Amino acid sequence: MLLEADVHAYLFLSFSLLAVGVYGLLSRKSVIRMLFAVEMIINAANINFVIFSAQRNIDGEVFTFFTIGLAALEAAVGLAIVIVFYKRFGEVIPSKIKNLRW
Amino acid sequence: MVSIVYATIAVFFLGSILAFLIGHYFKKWASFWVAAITGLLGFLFSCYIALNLGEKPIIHHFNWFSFGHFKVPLGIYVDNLAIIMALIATGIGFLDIIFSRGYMEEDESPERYYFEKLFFIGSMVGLVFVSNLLGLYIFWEGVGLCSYLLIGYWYWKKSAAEAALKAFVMTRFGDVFMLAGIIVAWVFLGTINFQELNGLALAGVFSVKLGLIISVLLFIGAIGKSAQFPLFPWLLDAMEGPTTVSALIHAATMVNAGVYMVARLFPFFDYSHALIVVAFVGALSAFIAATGALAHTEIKKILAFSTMEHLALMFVALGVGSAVAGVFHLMNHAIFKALLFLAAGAVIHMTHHTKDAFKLGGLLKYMPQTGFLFLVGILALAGVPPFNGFFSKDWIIASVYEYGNPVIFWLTFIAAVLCIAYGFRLWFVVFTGEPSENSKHAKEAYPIMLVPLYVLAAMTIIIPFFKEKIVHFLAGGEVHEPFFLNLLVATLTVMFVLFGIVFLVYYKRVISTAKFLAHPLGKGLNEFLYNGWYVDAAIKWLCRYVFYGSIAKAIEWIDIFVIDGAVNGVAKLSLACWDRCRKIQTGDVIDYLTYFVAGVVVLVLITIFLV
Amino acid sequence: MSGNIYFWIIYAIIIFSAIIALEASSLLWAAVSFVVLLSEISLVYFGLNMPVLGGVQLAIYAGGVTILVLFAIMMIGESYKKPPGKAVRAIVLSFSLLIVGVILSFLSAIDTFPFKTYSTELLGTVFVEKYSFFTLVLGFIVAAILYMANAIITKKREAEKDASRS
Repeated sequence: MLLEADVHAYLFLSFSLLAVGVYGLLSRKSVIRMLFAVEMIINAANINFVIFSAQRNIDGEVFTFFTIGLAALEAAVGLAIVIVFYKRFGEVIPSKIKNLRW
Repeated sequence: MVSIVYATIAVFFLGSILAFLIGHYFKKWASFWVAAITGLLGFLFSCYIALNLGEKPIIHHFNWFSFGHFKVPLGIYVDNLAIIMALIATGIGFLDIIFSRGYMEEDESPERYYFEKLFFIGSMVGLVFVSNLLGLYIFWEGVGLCSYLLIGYWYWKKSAAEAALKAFVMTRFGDVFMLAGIIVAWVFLGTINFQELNGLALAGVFSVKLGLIISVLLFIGAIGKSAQFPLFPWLLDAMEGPTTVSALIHAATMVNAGVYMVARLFPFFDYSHALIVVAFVGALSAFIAATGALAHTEIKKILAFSTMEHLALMFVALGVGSAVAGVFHLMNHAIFKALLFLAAGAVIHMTHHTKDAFKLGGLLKYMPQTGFLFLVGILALAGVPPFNGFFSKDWIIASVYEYGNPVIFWLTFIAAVLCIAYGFRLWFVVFTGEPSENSKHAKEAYPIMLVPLYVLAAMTIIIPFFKEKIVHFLAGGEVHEPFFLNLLVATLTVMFVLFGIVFLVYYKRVISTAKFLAHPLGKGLNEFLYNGWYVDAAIKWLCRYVFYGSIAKAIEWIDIFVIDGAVNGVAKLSLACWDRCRKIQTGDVIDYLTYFVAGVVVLVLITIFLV
Repeated sequence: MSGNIYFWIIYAIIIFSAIIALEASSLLWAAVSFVVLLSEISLVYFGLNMPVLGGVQLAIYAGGVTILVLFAIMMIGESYKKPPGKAVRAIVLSFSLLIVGVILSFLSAIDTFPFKTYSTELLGTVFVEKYSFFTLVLGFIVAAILYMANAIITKKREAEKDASRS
């Protein structure tokens, strides 16, 4: 075990990745960046699962398997949406989504 | 016996509805026959009750409604006082219905008239038969309603409609105080039954101040209904109604309700030291009325002031302590005042609705019988010896003299002796002298109108023979009648002198009143008396500037700016909030995500730190 | 919050690659740094003595998801305009999230240092005995991913064919 770190350090890693992901989600770059950001958030949650699993029991690790699989699936679906978005609007700026007004 | 009493009250109400329906759907004047039969039936029932009334009064109580422990009772209590008043109401009512067949001959819808008239008589009979203040109040409002309907009978005339409204509102104003008195009595004394109230007063279980408050509040209602100072202007304007209405309601029946109430609660008023208030109000009203009648020129308005004066005399009699004198005078007054009003009605009808006395003259040649009957009425009114007015009026003056208060005595005395002055002024102006154009077209009154007049005139002559019996019946025992020979002589002398003055001025036309009226002092005095000592103007001023101008306007301002302002303010506030909050929904999904994340952060913080 | 130097290096790489993935002006370089990010995360798993999980992360994420993203980027092209406005609110929010998270982590008092090691047999046993149902589902999920990737690729090809035809 080359990495020796405190639980708090790992949690700090997880939350900082979450912070970066939230930043990417809310800043209005292209929709593909938002997809990257979602993947980052999911990975942050996975790290959280794993670190607690390393302390307690194995169920956290098992759950992470499922999470990874599902996240991949969701990424695929999201990319399909992005492609449709591009076909509709011609560009990938998220400000184009404005139909939820009033 | 109890059922006969209820039947007496019920027959009038049923008869009123029946008269209206039959008159409306069959022939018009069939309603008269129904009304006449109903009136006669009611009178016969009352006579039957009077003859069979033993020592004990007829009592019956029932519970009208109750919720929980709070019970609202009603019932009847018929004793000598009640049956005398019922006899007056039904008897004079019957004669009035007969008379009205002639008087209302030109009317388009007599069924409406008879409906309201019978409803009125029924309410009056109910008023005197009922046993507690609540029933009294119910029927009080009933007679007030019929008075409003009948004064405004010719509703297309603006003056009549306004007069009806004025009468109703003014009496209503008094009734509010009466209702307050009833409520105070009910809350603090626990009962509103007449006999129980009198019993409490005789036992002396409550404080005199409480009794005084209740008595004064109830008396203000009586002031309104019986047209005493300051709530009397409605009686003058009420002469807009048909004369038969004035005869029955505003001379013989409704205005007596106030006197009846004070007589009923006489022990209560006596204990509460309220009788002195009654006497003062009565004396003042009598003086105002007698002097006012001297200044008016319309027949009916003079008679209206005379009514007010005699009612005031009754209140004075009650106030100085002799209730029997008051009720006896009530009975006599009903008879001769009804006679006078009906005779005046005959005059007005036969001269094609000439109301001003000074436009008539020399009518004796054209309407001899009416003139003679009118003279009988005037003599009874003035208190000339063999007629019934003399006995009761003299009793009252003697009682006041015995009571001793100089102010009350002089006011009452002057008012009493002025009766002969204005009475004969009226008679001389209308029936003697040069006939005017209006008089020349007059014919004698119809027989159907003359018969009731003869009956009433006969009663004014016959009643003095039965005076002892009647007084015994009223008082339920022996009663002390004060007698002061020097007072009697003084009264008769002053009356003779006044008669002489009036004789010279209006019959012989030796002295003329024109110079007196031309002088500014005389003119001012005449104006003052004519306008009822400007009480009417004062009331109007008070209503316009104080009630309407200040209080009502202030409340209206509060209603518009404070209450409505609050409601509108809520609406404006919510609109403003909506306007701000609307801008959150930009439609941009990233903004929504931002709010979402911010909400999550806030929730987590709350969960950590507050839970 | 003590840690090895290696841990902090990996931390720095992860954060930097994440920021670059979001801010790079060229989509290609963003994708590259995305791959780096995913690989470093799998390194973290390896460092916690979970090789299976690390391998799965590499296979599915760094393999599958990256290919998907690359296909999408190929279809869309390198068009990237500067976004309007500043992202102040986003920065504030993400920072506040970080603070909250750190506070949370310190409040939930965990202080056992020794991390356990799980053998692969144990992992497999738990998979089969406790989560067998979900394991089957996982298999289906993997199959679905492959199918989905195929669908997207075919769609892209059809779109290109349509574009070239018309």
